[in-house]
Amino acid sequence: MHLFTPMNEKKDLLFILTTRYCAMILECVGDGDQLEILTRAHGNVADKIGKPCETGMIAIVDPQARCIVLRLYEGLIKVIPLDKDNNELKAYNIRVDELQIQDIEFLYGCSNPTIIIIYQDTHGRHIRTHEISLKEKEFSKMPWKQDNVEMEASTIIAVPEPYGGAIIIGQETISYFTSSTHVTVAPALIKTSTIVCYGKVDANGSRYLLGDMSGRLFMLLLDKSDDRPEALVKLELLGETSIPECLTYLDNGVVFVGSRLGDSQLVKLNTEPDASGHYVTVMQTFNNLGPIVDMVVVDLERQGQGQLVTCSGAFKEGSLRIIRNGIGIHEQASIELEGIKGMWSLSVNSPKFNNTIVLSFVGLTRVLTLSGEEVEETEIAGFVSDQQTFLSANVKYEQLLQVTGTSCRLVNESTGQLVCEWRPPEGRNISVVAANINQVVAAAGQLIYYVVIQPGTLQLEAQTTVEHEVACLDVSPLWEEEMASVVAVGLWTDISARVLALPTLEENAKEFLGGDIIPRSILMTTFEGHHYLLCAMGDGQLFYFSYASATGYLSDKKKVVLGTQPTTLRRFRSFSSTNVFACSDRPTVIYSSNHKLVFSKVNLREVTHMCPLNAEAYPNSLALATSEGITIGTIDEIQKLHIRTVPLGETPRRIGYQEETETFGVITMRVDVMGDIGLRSGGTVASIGAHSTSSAITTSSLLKPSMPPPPELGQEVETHNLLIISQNTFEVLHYHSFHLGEYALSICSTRLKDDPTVYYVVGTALVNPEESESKQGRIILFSHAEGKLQQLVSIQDESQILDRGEPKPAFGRLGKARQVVFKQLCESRSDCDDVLRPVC
Amino acid sequence: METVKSTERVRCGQLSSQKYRSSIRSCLAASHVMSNVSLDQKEQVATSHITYADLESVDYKYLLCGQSDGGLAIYDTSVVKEGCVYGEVGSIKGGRRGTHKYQVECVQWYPADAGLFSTSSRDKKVKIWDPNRMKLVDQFDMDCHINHHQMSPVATKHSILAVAGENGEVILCDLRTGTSTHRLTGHEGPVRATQWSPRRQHILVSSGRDRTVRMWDIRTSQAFIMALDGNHQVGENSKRAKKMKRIPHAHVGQVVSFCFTHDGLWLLTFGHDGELKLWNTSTGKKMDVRYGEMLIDSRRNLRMAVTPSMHPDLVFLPCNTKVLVVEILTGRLVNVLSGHFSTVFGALYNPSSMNLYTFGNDQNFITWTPKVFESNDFEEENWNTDLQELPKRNRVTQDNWSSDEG
Repeated sequence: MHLFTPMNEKKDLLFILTTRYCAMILECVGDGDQLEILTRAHGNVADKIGKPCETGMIAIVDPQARCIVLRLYEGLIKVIPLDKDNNELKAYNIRVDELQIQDIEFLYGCSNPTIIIIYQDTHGRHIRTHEISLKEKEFSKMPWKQDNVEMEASTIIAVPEPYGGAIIIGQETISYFTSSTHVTVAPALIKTSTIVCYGKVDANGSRYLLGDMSGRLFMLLLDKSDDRPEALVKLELLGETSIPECLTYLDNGVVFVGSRLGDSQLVKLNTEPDASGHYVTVMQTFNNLGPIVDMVVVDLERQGQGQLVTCSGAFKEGSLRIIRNGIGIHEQASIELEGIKGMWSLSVNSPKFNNTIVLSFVGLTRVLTLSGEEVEETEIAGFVSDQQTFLSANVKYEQLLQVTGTSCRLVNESTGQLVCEWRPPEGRNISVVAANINQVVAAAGQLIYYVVIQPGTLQLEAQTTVEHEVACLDVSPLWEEEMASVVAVGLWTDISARVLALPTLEENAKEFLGGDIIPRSILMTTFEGHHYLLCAMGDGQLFYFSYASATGYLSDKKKVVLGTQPTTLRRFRSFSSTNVFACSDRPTVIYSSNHKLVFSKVNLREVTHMCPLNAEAYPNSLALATSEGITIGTIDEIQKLHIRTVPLGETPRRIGYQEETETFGVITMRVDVMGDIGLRSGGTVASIGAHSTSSAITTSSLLKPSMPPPPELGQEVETHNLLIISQNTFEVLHYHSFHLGEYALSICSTRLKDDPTVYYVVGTALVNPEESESKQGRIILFSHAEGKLQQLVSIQDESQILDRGEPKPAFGRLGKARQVVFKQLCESRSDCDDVLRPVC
Repeated sequence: METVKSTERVRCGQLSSQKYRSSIRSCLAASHVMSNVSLDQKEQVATSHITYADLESVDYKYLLCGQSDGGLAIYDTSVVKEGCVYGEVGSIKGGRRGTHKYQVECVQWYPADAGLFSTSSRDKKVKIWDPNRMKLVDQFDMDCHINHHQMSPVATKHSILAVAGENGEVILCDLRTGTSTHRLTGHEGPVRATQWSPRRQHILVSSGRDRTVRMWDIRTSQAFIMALDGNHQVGENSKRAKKMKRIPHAHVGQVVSFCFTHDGLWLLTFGHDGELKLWNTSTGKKMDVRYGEMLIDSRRNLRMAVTPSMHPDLVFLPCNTKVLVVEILTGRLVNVLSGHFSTVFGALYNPSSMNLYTFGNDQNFITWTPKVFESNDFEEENWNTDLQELPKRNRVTQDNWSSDEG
């Protein structure tokens, strides 16, 4: 797909050509937010026959929008004349004698549309210009040409008026051509890498940005003073970015660096160099996973949630990316406190924000106030602090509620004084309690009490006895209700969930949950206008029902497994929707999408309690209690991919996961330059920081004759390495480099027949630069134990098996193929001369 | 081209897969070696041999062969049967009613589908057949011997068969009406072969014993648009040629074979003088490509094959007992296939299986497979016997290409 903006009116239009030869011109209509994209013209430009171009499709638009030129097929140039009121794109072919066109561009400031071509023939690369006669549908004349430009010239930049002409960029030189003059410079800077893209900075074409394969950004200056006939071409290094694929100068020194091999970046060009002499600062990076060469699905935290580890990027952008699905919590603050049994946020004398957190421990209660970002411990006079709090909340009539094992205490918010205390009759102890701003439902054993909050008093409205002891309660008001009309109860012994009507406490519905694990938390909630009853069990299971408020029936019983530990359900609001947080060893957020409940894992280890917190310093946050302390954080938008990047600095090729040793085996490739003492690699690469290293030892005479001679000074050499990376820290534990010219092609982790040790099996091919295909390779077995990697067996493979394995990357990964091959391997290991016969 | 390196570069997206594929293909095409697969000819008369063959262009499966005794046979090249032969789908023996009296000079599948084919012979007849029933459906009687005939592979507006007549005329026969519509006269001496342009459906090229190669537009009443000139750079158009009173010769000897490249931009001619020439089809200009000297002693029509959409494009040129594989645009000799004992009559390239088929005067039909596949074949024989039941050709292609072409 190619994008262009021709200017034929006030507004720019967009020309798009797809790989299926569909062409279209799009226009954007509207202003502000109401944008609409209209198709101005479209058509198919495919030919029935013709040889598609080797160097890809090129589409260019005349600067004065007279025509579009496409280079789709070898030996032909397709011209689409642009008429104003034609909504069908019709193209015709013009035959060109130049074959193997490298690049093509329109020249500026010509009376007829004129194209400039770099093409290659047996003698080298040449430049031609052709004037297109739109009337006669052919080339009319050739204004100028230049034979034998640089052998690797690949890119043309057409320079706008008043400079005119074109810049030709090659491997080593940059030339500026006009019809009469030409200037060539050969800066030493660009020789080490290939310039792949350019971006125009100024409209008059005096400055260009160039990006090369090693990710360096250059500024090309074209300076043409009036007193000199020839222009000056200057090149300056600006700094380092990702390896660019395209460069777009936005404005005010901001450049978008689009990258295919790494993350795209938004960089700012500074006028003054920084400490390291670079003029570039990265403002923003956009994650890019591609090109994904290989990947594995692993369950790193053993949570039943697979994660994807991909080999992404190439060269210096090479990295491992760990991708997981779920909800992210951005941690903002944390407090170290152990043994939290319950947690509630209150707003004491602050109408807008929560400023108090009530924490409950075994046998005591503590109150924290948040002032700004500071946290300090205080007391509320009416609260008891020597008992464990079961519940605490802001309730109606500017009162606070604290429920302990013995009593419900109502406290005036402004004075902090106890205004009313309600105790269950006959000295019973409250075992479970639930409340909303109007109502309190408390249970003591088999008795359930319904208490209504009045100004200054707590009034017992009803009480009832159920068959078994109450395990959990909920009295959340349903959708848009002031007072809750039902109370949800979970019972011991018969393991049932019941819905009782208020205020009579009559049983509306009963549902047996089965099993012998008690319900630990029950919650009535409304998602997208539907009422649900959620009931979490002590073993991490969750039952959910839909609840019809009109009839009071429960239906559609469903079960999901959220974790393995007792689960607590808490409701919170995020982005104006209701969500439920299930606190357990695998914290989960439950929400509804398209009238279906969605369970989404949170990227936290274990959460025991949770309460929503809307403090001044932490707006719309969640306070999460873990076994170690409290974490305050904000929650991401629901259901997002989480990507973690482990930069390697070299191209990852293959990845294999070994569960037993908790490691990844990654095959990487990097280009080293032969230095004075040995191989030297540029930049920071992961291999250097390895804990231990080893390199291949020639074990067989078979290898020796095919070994390439040692490289000359300054020559670039590709080396292949095996990195053993820890799954927890993603540190490189071990680094093994293969022979020069030995290409590691596949890796897998396996166990041989009866042998308990696990091995990394690496298949390699020996590449001889003179041969088009490699004829031999090796299978090497590594075992990784105690941070050490041992090369155990290396088997010569004369029968080209790995080479054939190479077009099919699955070789050695196919379970069947592997087992059959290695069973044989195992048997033949005892006798020294291994005869490896591929069986499948 | 280092395959290992290139595959990795393709995976990273640095090398376009198209480029990789086409270069691998032409690398394979340049490395053809003889394979032991042949045709099922048990039922054929021992003395007859294949004089002309054509592969249908829909799924490159069925091979149509014309025999020296006037018989015809169709083979399925996608399945290799026991004994390393291609299975016969249908055949009609020479001498039966409806068949050609003499040897079949030319056969061609109907370009759009495999539901029709045409044959011609020196018995002055062009016959149209239904391959499903192996029955004759139509017949054109000519007043002269026929050397060659062809239908346009891209025609949508006409269905005209161009027949090269011994009397110096190109006779155009319309399949729709079943009659000959008009004749293109001009050749002095017999017309040897005709070819339609694959790019423009009204353009026809013919070669004659008078050493000229002429390009016609069948819509005009003009004699011809141009004749290829081997001595000068530019092809002569007819007006100038009339003034000169001499029509330029394309070759010193007569043209024994000519062929458009797959994209129709170039025309290759091969003369009895042993020269292969490349012409620009729009200007008629001879391209300055040197293919080197080749020796040829047959005056018979030969069939050469070009590879479609490869880089670089190759031509398989029958040259006495050998088949030369030459890069079209550079003239580099890539490979020499020797296996026939006598003159090779023609070569056919199958783009889907990448096999090359040749047939010759020694009554042999040889399949040539790319080298890599061949070495696979060799190993396969050592492999498990239960896998052997699969059709060999099928498996080999799948093994090697499924991962890259997807």
